[in-house]
Amino acid sequence: MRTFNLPDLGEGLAEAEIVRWHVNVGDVVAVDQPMLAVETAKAVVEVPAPFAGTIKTLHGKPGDIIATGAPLVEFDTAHGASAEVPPTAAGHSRAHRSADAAHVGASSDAGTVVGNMPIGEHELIETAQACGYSNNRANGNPRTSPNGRLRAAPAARALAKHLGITLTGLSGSGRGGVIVVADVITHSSIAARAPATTPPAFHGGEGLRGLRRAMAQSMTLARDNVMNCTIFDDADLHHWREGHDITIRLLRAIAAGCQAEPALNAWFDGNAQTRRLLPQIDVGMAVDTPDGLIVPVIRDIAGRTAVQLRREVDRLKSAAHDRTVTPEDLRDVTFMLSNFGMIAGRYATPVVVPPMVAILGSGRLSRDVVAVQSGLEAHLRMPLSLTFDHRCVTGGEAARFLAAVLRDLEKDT
Amino acid sequence: MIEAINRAHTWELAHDPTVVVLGEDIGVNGGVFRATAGLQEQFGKNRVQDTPLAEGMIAGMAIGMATQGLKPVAEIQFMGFIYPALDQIANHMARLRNRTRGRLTCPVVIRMPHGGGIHAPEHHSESLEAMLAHHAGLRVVCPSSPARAYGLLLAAIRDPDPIIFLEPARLYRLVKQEVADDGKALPLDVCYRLREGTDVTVVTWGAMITETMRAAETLQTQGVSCEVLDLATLSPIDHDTILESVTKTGRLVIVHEAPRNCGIGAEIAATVAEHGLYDLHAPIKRVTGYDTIMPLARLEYDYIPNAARIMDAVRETLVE
Amino acid sequence: MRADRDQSEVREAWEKEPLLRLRAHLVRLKAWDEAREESLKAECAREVEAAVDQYLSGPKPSTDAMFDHLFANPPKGLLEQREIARRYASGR
Repeated sequence: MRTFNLPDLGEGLAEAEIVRWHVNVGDVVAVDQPMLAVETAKAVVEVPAPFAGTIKTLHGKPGDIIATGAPLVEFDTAHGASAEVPPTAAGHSRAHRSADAAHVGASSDAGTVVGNMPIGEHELIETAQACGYSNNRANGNPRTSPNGRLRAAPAARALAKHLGITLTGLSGSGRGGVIVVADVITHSSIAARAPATTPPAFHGGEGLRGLRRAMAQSMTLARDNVMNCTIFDDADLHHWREGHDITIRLLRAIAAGCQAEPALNAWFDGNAQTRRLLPQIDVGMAVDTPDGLIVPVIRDIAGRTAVQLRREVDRLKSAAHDRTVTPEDLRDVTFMLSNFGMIAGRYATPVVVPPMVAILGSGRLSRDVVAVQSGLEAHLRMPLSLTFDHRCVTGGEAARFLAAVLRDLEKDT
Repeated sequence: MIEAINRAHTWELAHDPTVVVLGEDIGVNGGVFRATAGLQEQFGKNRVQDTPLAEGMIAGMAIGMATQGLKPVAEIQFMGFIYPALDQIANHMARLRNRTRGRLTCPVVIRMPHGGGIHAPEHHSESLEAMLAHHAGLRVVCPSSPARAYGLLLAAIRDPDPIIFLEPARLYRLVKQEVADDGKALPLDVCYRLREGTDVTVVTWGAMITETMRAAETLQTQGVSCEVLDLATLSPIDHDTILESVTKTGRLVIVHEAPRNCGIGAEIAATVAEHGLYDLHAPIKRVTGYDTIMPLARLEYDYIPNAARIMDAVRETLVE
Repeated sequence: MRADRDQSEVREAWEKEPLLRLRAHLVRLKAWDEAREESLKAECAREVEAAVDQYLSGPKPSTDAMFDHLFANPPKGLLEQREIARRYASGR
C-alpha cells in the first residue's frame, strides 16, 4: 500500500480545499489520471495520480481543507495495475539513455505548478537537420542563387501575370540578372503593337517655346480627342451698305446661331461623356501676333451693344499685340471665331479645341459671280467654314446654326 | 523535454565543476516543473542552490558568480517573472564583457518556461523573446524537442556569454523522444530543418512547432509541400538558411505565439524583404499571437495560433 | 516638485544608513579617520579626472570598438554590421 500526500502546489501554498473527487474507492487508476480537483488561494488545480494502482482510501471530502504534505489518497498496489512503476516524474518522458537507465528525480509527484500541464504519450519521431552557417564559417560568402528559380522584381511578376507572359526564358536587365518590368514589356505584345514607323528624326531642331509650344500641345490634344466635321457655305452680303464692321456682324451672327441652336455653345468632356450647355456666349477670337496665336475672349456677346463689342475687340486686339493679355482674358471660351479671311483664304477646316464644340472660320470677302433669276450678278460674299465636334453635335444642329448665322449676316443691318 | 533538461543539467554538473544551478524552489523541490529534480541530492547544496523569491537577486548573483569563474545556470520560474531581473540582465549581464573590454565575462544561462497553454494564472504564460532579442550582448535560444532541449542547453551552458534559454512550457511533458545522454551539444546560431519541402517555407520555434508540423502534414495530403524550419536560436537569427529556403520555395510564412507587433517574425520578414525580395512569389505572411495580453485559461487556445490559421496563411501565399 | 516626506522619516533613515554606520564603526576601531577620508576622496577624484581626460584627449576610437567585446563568438550578422560601420565612419 502506498500513500499519496497532497503535494506542494507551487508558490509555497500551505493547504488546499477539496473541490471534487473524480475517482471512487475501488477504482483502478493509471498514472497521471486526474483524481481530484482542489482549490488553492490562487486557482483550481487538477491533481493527477502519481502512479498506477487501485484506490483504497480517499482522505477527505469536498469542502475539506487538506494541508500540504498531509495524506490524500491511499493506493493498493499489490493487485491489478502494474505495481512497480518506477517513481519517475509524471508523464512518460522516458528519455532513453545509452548509459544507465536509472530513474530521474527522487520525488514521485508530477510537479507543483498551478495549472494544467498537457501530458502526452506521443513518441516524437523527427528528422532534424542543423543548417546554416555556424559562427566558425563566418566568411561572409554571399548567398548564391541556385537551381532554376527565377529572380524577378515583384512588379515584374505582377505585370507578367497580367499580360499572360511566362518569365522563363526572359533575360533580366536588373542588377544581378533580376527580371524587371522593362524586360517584361520588351518581351510582351505591347512592344509588338507599338507603331513600327515613326516620323524620321532630323537634326538641328530647336525646342518649341511659348505660344508655339502651347499651340502644338493644344492641337495634339484636339487631334486625339475631337471628331471634327466641317460644313461650308457662303454668306451673300450684297444687301450690306457701306461701313459694316465685319467682326461685329460676325459676332452678332454667332449669337443668332447660338440662339437657334444652343448645342453649339457648350462644353463637352469626352472621357466623362458629359456636356454642359452654357447660358452665356463668350467668343474666343483668334488673333495672329508676331509671337504666335493668341485667343482672347469677348465676354457675353449677346448682352453687349455693337459699340461695346467694338471697344472690347479693340482692347483685346491691342492687348494681344502688346502681350498684355491677362489670364482672365484667355479662359473659359464657349465658342471660337477665326477670321483668317482678313489675310487670305476662303474656306478652311478649322479645328475645334476641347472643351468647346464648335468653331466658325470666316474667309476672305470677295466679289463673286452668282446666278440670280434674271441672269448673272456680282455679289459680295463671305465664305464660312463651320467645324463642329460630331461626338456631341449633330449635323442637323450644325446646319441650323449655320443657317441662322447666314440669315443674320445677310441682313442689311 | 523536462527529462532532457534534467539530464543536461546532470551531465554538465558532473563534468564541469564550475557549473552551479540556482533559482526558486529548484533545490529541495527540484523545480516547480521538476526540471532540476534530484540535482541537489546528487551534487549538494553548494552547487544547487535555492534562492529567495527575488529575481533581481537571482540574476545579480549569477553575474557575480560568473565573473568569479563559475558557470551559473539560473532558473526564472516563469518568463513573466523576468522583469525584476531585467535590470541586472540588460544593464550588466549583457554588457559586462563590453564594459570591461573582456576582463570580466558572464558565461551565464538563464532558463525559464516560455509561452502558454498550461492554463496557468496571469503572468505565467508570456512570450517575451523579442524584447530580449533587442539587447546587444544576449543570445536567445528556444528548443522545440527533447533532443534539442538537451543539446542546446549543453551548448548554452558551455557558451562563454549570457544566454536566455526559453523552454516551451506546454511541451515539457507532451512528447517523448529518444535522446542519447552523451553530453553532445548541438550548434547554436543555426536553424534546424524539420521538414523538407518545395512550395512554401514555414519558420517557427518553440511550442508552435507542434501546430506547424500538424498543419504541414495536413497540407501535404492536399498537395502542398511545406519546408519547416525550427529557428532554435532566436537571436542571432540564422537568416542565411531562411533565405536559402525562400530561394527554393518563393514563399514564406512565419509562425510565433508571441504577439505580432514588433515580434521576431517582423525581423525575419524585413530581412527576407531586404535580401530575398526577388525570390518571392507572394507577400510574406505572419501567423502570430494577437496584440493583446495573454488571456486566461478559457481563451488560451484561441490566442495561440492553431493549425487552421497556419494552413490558411500558407494557402494565401499560394493564391498569388 | 518637492518630495513630501516627513522630515522625521528622513532623519530616521539617515540614522540607519549602512555606509555611515560602517564608517562610524571603523572610526571607533581606529581603522579610519577624517584625514584618510579626505585623502581617499581626493585620490578618487584625481583618478576619475585622469580617466576622463585620457578618453577625451586621445585619438578617437575606431568604430570596431563598438563591436569588440560583445561576444566571445560574434554572430555573422554582427560582423556584417561592423563592416558597414567602418565604411561610414566619420573622422570626428
